[in-house]
Amino acid sequence: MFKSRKSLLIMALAALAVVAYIQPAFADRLADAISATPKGAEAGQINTELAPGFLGIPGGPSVNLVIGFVWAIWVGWIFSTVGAFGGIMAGVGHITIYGFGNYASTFKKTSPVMNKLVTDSIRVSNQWLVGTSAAMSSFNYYKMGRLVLPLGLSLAAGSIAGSYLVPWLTAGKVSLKAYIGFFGLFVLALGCYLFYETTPKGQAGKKQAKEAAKAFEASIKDEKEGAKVDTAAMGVKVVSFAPTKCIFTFYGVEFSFNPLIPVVGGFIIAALASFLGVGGGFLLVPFLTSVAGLPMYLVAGTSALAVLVGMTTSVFTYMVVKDTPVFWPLIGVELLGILVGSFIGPRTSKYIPDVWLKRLFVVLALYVGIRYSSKGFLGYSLLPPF
Amino acid sequence: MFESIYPIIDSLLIAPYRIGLPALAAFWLGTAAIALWCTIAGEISMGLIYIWNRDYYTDLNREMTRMNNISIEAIRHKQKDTFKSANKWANEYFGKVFFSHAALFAVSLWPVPFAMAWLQSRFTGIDIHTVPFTEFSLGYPFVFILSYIIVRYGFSKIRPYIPLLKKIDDLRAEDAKKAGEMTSWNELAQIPEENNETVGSNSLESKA
Repeated sequence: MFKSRKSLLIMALAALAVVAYIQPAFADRLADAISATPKGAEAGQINTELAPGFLGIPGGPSVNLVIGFVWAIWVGWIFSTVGAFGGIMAGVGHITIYGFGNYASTFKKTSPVMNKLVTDSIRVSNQWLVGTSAAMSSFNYYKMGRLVLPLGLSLAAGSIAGSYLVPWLTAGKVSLKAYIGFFGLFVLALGCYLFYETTPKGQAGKKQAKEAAKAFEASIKDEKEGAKVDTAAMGVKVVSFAPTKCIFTFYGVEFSFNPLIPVVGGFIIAALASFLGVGGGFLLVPFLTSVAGLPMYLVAGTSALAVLVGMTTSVFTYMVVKDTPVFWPLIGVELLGILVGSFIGPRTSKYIPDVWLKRLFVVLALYVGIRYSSKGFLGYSLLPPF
Repeated sequence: MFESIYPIIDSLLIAPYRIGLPALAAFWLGTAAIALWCTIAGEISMGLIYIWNRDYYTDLNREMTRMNNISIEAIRHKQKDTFKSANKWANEYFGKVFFSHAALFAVSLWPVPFAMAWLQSRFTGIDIHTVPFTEFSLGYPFVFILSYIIVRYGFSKIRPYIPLLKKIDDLRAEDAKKAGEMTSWNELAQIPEENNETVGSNSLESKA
């Protein structure tokens, strides 16, 4: 993470970010969006008599920095202990806790421009949570031969396609109700998956796996070799690459995968992310580590590359092409919350097992999921606030 | 409380812009000074969290390395099921390492949004540069981000000479040793070719 090569990547990313801030002098996306939105007191309209809220939009949701801070402590805590679900938590926070997602979706029909602007702002707010540090390690992993380039590129291609195609395919075709309902279903599905992981059956599988690994470790202890090797000497050799089968050898061991799976996986992740207005990076690493089942030695580099490409596209898409406004104080307060969460997270992991943090998440996911899907598909919320 | 502190912070931050240099040079100098504050505060925060939780990070790395090494040994012994079991756990630990590092890096960036907010309040709408032959203008974000990258890069070069940060770097090196050496797959290169077998990954194994 802190290796010497990373500085080069920092420079490259920085250059990109700088380019991203080149703004046409005549462009003010927010002002244009406000003037293009119908005025009035109805949903999907801007009431100019109300006080400015989110991004300075009159009548926008007021951003409570204290709630943002407290929520981010929870996000940082999850990030530092359970892992991937921190990103999901951040997304849930931006969409539901602050009410931005709900607010964005009210403009879906009346003002697509405003809908896109608020959605993009939520997504940008989620982007910095993606593992920037991992992106910087891509180069190191590549040098060490720990990067499956075709797989990383397949994932990236899928996610780029998803980011561009989904908004185009769904533009104006998804009602506010359906949008809220689908978001609820997504969170509900996540909650159910995580619930399974916390059940005795889900736990037993992992326990058995650990015991098998330990037993094997004990059986080979006597013949342990400590030979030092040069990781740059040999690495991944792609034998053949066809649309449905990529074969590569890794130090004499042959692996194969179907490139369509990461492409489809990347596409679905990006589609979900685009559709729901959250960053997709937080789903890529879990996808690679659990769904793809690649050797960890390769997952590390490949996920770093996928994150790097995804992040670069996001920067370009949201900052260059679209000139997306960002509410800086909220991001700053959230980073401070993550700081506090990172302080306390590892310290509490001794006393609060992962499984209980996951159960807490399940309860939250069920609440958010049921509330949003009932609101979207039934027209009223089954849970408070109604 | 914030209202009473803000004017003090504001006057501190604006001071380098007013030292009498030509406008453009003063703007770059003042912004670079803010970038330096952001870098120092971010690096120290990240370092403190690392020191505070170093045992935890080392344990995660150690377990990740251990499971990876078991999985590689399992392939050498042609035990596919053991490979999958160990690899499952190696991935589990990798996920934790990955996101705890992401959180650490995010911590090092915490001052940046506040700097951007302050610059926005002071310099929004002011064009600092214009890209030659185009109508594109560059504002404070361009100057700040470029300064921040240069300052942070330069700072990484002088870290070894700053006692606190040098100490943190030494601890990191020590912890990396404690976590153990990750077995490289090079060792499998010695497997005779006729013994090679495909070790498929569950769902990525070709389903075509």
